[in-house]
Amino acid sequence: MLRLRDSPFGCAPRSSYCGGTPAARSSYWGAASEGDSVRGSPCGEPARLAPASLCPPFFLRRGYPGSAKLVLGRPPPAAAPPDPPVAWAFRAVFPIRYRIHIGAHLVIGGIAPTCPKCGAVNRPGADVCYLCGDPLGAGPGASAFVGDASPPAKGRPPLRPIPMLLFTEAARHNVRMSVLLFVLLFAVFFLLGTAIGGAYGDPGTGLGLSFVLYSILGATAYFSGTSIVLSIHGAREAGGEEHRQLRNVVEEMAIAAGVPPPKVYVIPGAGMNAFAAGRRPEEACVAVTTGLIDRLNREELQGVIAHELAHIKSRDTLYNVCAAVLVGAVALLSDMFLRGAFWGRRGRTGGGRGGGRGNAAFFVLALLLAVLAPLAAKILQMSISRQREYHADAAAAGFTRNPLGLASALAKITSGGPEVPGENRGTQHLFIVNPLRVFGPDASALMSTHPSTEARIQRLRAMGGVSAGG
Amino acid sequence: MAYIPLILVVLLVAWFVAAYNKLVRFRNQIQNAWHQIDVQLKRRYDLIPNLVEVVKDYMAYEQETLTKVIEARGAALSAKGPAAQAKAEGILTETLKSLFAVVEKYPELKANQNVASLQEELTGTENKISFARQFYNDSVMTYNNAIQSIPTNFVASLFHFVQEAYFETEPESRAVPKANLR
Repeated sequence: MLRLRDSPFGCAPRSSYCGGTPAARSSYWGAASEGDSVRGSPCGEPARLAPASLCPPFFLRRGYPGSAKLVLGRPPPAAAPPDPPVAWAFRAVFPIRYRIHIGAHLVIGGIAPTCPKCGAVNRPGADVCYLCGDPLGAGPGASAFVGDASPPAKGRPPLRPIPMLLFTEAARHNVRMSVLLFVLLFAVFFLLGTAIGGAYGDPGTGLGLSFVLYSILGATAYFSGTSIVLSIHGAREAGGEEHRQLRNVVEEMAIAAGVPPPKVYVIPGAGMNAFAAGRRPEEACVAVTTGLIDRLNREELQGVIAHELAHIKSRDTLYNVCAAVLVGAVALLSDMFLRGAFWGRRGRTGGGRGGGRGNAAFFVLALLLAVLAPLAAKILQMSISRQREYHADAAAAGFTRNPLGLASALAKITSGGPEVPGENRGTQHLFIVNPLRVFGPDASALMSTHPSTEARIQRLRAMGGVSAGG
Repeated sequence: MAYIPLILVVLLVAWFVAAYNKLVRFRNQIQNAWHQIDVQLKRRYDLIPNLVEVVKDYMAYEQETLTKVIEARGAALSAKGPAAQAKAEGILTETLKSLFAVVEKYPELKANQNVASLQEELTGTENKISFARQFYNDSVMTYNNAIQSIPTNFVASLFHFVQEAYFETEPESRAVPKANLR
């Protein structure tokens, strides 16, 4: 894998202060989490954005029309070498990742300020032009709030520039990723079952029994109702004149989504959050806190309700239940196996049909899987949950045709506080923003049910194609 | 081993049936979506007399606007044929917009609870109409995609599924409407 310093073009942008090269995980790479410092070179100077044509890894270099023009003060090279086939494969498999990565080099959003005197494109958050030293003036007005021109608050990392992203493409990509992850989860489960069966001599029975176990657990989970969730959080029916606007908004979005309008509930509370529950669209319900209703304007409320309806329409509640059941079953299987193995059953050769050697290999495999599988399953489940959140965002943009409304609502929710009465770990994944954790730089990205709100806002703004000046 | 061709044939037939059913479902959804637009339009027709009744007492000097609204509603109700209907609907939307602009001028009217709730209802109805049209267009797009994509287009041409048309707007209504503030 080509690293920053190994590029054939010698591209590593060097600090003008100390001449050092940036660390590999500086924000230059674009894929690091929001909390990463922008500290680049060893002397602490922030990493600069390299010209698009010289960016390693070399196969992410091109692909966006006009990207060669938008370079930091350097003209593009005359002729660029052609892309190797691995580039095409990478772009095909990870289209969203690829675009958000190379988006670091684009000037969309006016976030990478252009110097009015010399025309050089500076890094985001710069207040002095690096070429001519001219002060750059007030930061660009692009902010997350719709209709609000104030830049991000001091101390927050500057928002990265973003490329255009079609919400239809985003939705399809997320569906592909969640299907892939689901298949992996099933594979982990059945592999574990087969390995355990093989350890006891009969892989086929292992597979069959794991299937039966899954069916039993699945059936039990499927029939648990939504009324429990509603009563945990103290939701009441939204009736009467005071919630007329909320009911209208829900009906509008139900028309746009093409689902029967769900029942509307209200959670009395100052925090801002919303959730959707229900197995099928016909028996679904949506609950919103009063804090949310009071503080969001109509188009932001439309965005939030559209997000919830997108969850209902794509049956995410059902899929989350399936995933949770799988994870529980994996944990159960591995637990049973480990107990059986360690408490010792010396006389287990009675069931051994595959011969001593096959048994041992399976046994080792089963042991390994039994230790790793629960963790892997949990990670997969969280990945599925995050993909479904991105998908719901994209689908909400499709229903409202206004992704900036939802982006602005998410920004308001994080700044206003997403706490809900009765919040607990059992229902945290149902909400639009996780009520239990505010995603700071130390939040573990692998084990979180929701993607970081900054990333979600960034993708939504990419769909909205935020133009310079906000 | 001898069962493999049989299984393949069964799978092929199953795919064929599934593709045909999918096209039928999409086509019916288009019909449904089109009629849902009519449902929302009718709701707007029913709301307008209430609004005019409430504002009439306050707006003694705005009789012209009110009359225009009522006439436009009558014309839209009696229009025949989709083209004439669409045109009349556009005119009605314009008159409603000018009515809202006029209501802004009267502070006691704005403070009136009935007027506020009726305005919210009308806003909601306008939104529902546009979302219904949007859903119709989305359904048409899904159907056209299915008809033109490679495996399903064989089934489509076999059973004469034709491409559907999108909801068109009148060229005049693409211009930015002017609020008639007098």
